[in-house]
Amino acid sequence: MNERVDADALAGRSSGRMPPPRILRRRYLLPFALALPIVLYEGLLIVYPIVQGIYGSFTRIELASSAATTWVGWDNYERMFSDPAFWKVIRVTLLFTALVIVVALTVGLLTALLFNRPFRFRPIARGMLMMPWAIPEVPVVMIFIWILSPQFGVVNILARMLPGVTQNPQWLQVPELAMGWMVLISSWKAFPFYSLVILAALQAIPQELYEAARVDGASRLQLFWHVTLPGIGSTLELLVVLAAIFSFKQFTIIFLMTGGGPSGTTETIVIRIFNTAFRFYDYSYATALGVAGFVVSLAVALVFILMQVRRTQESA
Amino acid sequence: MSDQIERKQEQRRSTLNRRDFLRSASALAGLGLLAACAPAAQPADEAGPDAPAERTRVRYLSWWFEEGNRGETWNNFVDEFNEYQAEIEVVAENIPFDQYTTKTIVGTQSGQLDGDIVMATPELAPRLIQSDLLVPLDDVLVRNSITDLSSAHDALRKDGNLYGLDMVTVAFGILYNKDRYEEADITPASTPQEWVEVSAALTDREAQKYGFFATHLVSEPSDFWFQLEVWCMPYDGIWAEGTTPLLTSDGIIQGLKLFKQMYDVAMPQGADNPTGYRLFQNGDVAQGLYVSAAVGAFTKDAPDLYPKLRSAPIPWETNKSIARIHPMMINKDSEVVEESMEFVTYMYKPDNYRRMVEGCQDVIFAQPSAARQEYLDGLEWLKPGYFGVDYVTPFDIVGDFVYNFNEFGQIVITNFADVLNAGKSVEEAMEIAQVQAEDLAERIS
Repeated sequence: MNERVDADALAGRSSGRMPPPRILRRRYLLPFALALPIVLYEGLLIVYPIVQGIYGSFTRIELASSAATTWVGWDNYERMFSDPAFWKVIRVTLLFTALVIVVALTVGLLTALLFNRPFRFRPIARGMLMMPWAIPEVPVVMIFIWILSPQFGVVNILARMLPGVTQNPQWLQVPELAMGWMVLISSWKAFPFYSLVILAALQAIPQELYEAARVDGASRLQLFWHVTLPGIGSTLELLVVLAAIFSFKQFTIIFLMTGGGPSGTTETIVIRIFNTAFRFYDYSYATALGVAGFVVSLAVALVFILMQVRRTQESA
Repeated sequence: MSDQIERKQEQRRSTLNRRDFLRSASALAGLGLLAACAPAAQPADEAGPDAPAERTRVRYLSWWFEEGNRGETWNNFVDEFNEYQAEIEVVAENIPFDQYTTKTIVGTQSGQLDGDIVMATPELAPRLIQSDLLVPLDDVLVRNSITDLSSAHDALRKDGNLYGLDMVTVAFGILYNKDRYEEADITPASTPQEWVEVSAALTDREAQKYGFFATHLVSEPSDFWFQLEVWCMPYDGIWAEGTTPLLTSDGIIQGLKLFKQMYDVAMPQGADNPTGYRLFQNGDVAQGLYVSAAVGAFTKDAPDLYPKLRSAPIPWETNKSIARIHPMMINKDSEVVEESMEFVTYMYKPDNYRRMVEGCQDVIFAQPSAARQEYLDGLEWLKPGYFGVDYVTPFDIVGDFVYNFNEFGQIVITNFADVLNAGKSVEEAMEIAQVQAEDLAERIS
């Protein structure tokens, strides 16, 4: 009986008798109390550092000196926008991100299509598919450094089979090759996750749709184009955004393998931020670069939100 | 009806409602908080009146506790000191060399220097001294009656006080595998150009044999700059004077061109530092510019190679090489300054100091009177490459950039890497580097 009254009271329906204000206050406060831990966590460990970072980008901070932090206004941003190196870093970052999205998602989609079909030992093969994703990044880097070593690397044996290749290539020292390897290794590391998510989406497509299309005489390509792709469209959209964010912030592989070199050809914005902060100890400028990176990430997330809104409106 | 009501009431009593849950959780959290704030309980066997007094802990930070015989020697000394007296316990904390400077500088900026006793590189030391983060150590000399401290310590003084005591001075020299020289029937070079020729003669890329190795990857910035800095020596160049970078000066351009020549004709290109080290251990690399402190490590890492190691005379007229002093320092903000001072005093007793230097197989004594001639004579690799050389310090070759050594080095190596890999000329790359270094000078001034 009491529960009924309380529910009515909370829903704003009048039953002629309001519960005491103490109970009402408690009921209204409870959701806030439950949300408080996560709000505190987000506030202290995410929002506060971001705000501090934004503040830092308007100051001059010198590491290892007792000089006081000074307010410099937009100086760091003016320097950033007039710095050709910054625009090079942005170009490299966008190129790297775009290539990883294309390679990782394409391979992820192909493997998902493959693993969606029944074959012998499929569960084992699916388990093995996940291995690159499951291995931590540092061991991956160590393995690839050995594979690509100009002196001991196994990949040299294959390269030397190519006509005209008489010496072991400098895989990570030639600008074009270095970028290619960064994209390949990052994609190799990431694609199992995308594959798994796409596989789940593929299995959610009703079989009746395929049967109906086959009855209508659809070819395999048409089945893929008109049934499969629309069926996993929203998943792919999500994965493009996730892949963009993941590859945008890729640090370990690039930092440990090339450090951003040679000639800055693999220096993405996160590597640049690290180098600026912890190698040049130019902390304030690094925070300005960090804010720029944050804005780009935010823009990508915003695109995703807009796409979701549009999709919701369409389906409504 | 009354049965139903009773059953419901019974059900309510036996189930945990939200209010009870929150109440219990709050009580538990409160108890947990109280427990966390309570002083730690003493173990029963230590709590009694006869229990030995607790030792004062002194944290000693360095990068060398895992470095072959240097690590072993220092760990033994820490143990020895802890047994020698009952009041202080020195705890050795290892931080990898590549992270040491950055960690120290960032720690400093975030409020205070970490550790009670800290080791420093030649470039980190002036930075810490300049920032007033250290305790004067003159008293250590008085306590140990030391009167012949090396003049290299002058750089560790400020306002008449001494803030660091050298625990290892390392000097660059050309170290080679004598078997490789004998196989190729060559003798050490006497000019920079001859040195390139000798290195080329020792190289057979098809057979994976190389005449020379030096770190040259931007992914290993500390090692790259650490080794590249010495390449100003062949043509008597300096990297900077005061706050004026001299990256386009003739001495620097010639030195870097020499490095590039060596890279082209004799180096395992693209090899990282561990690979280069392994190739040298295996005899696949014939020679390198090694600091004296690194040679002792081969006794453990490559016992077969060690007896074959010899040093070549410095092949340039000035006979100059860089010596790097690594001082031990005490954190001013430490709560155990006096205890830290005890350990530094112990280590600087002439006899202990000598045992430490010999244990690490170092060759440059900050207390010259502590050196034993028999020990030096027993090191076959010492002469002539590391002996009778005119030593200069990083202070002499990078000017005021010694306070921002890493940033300066990062500019040099980043641009020089373009010479090695992107086909830029040395002049072109150093012109860009010069502008960047001038910007740096402006930023830090």
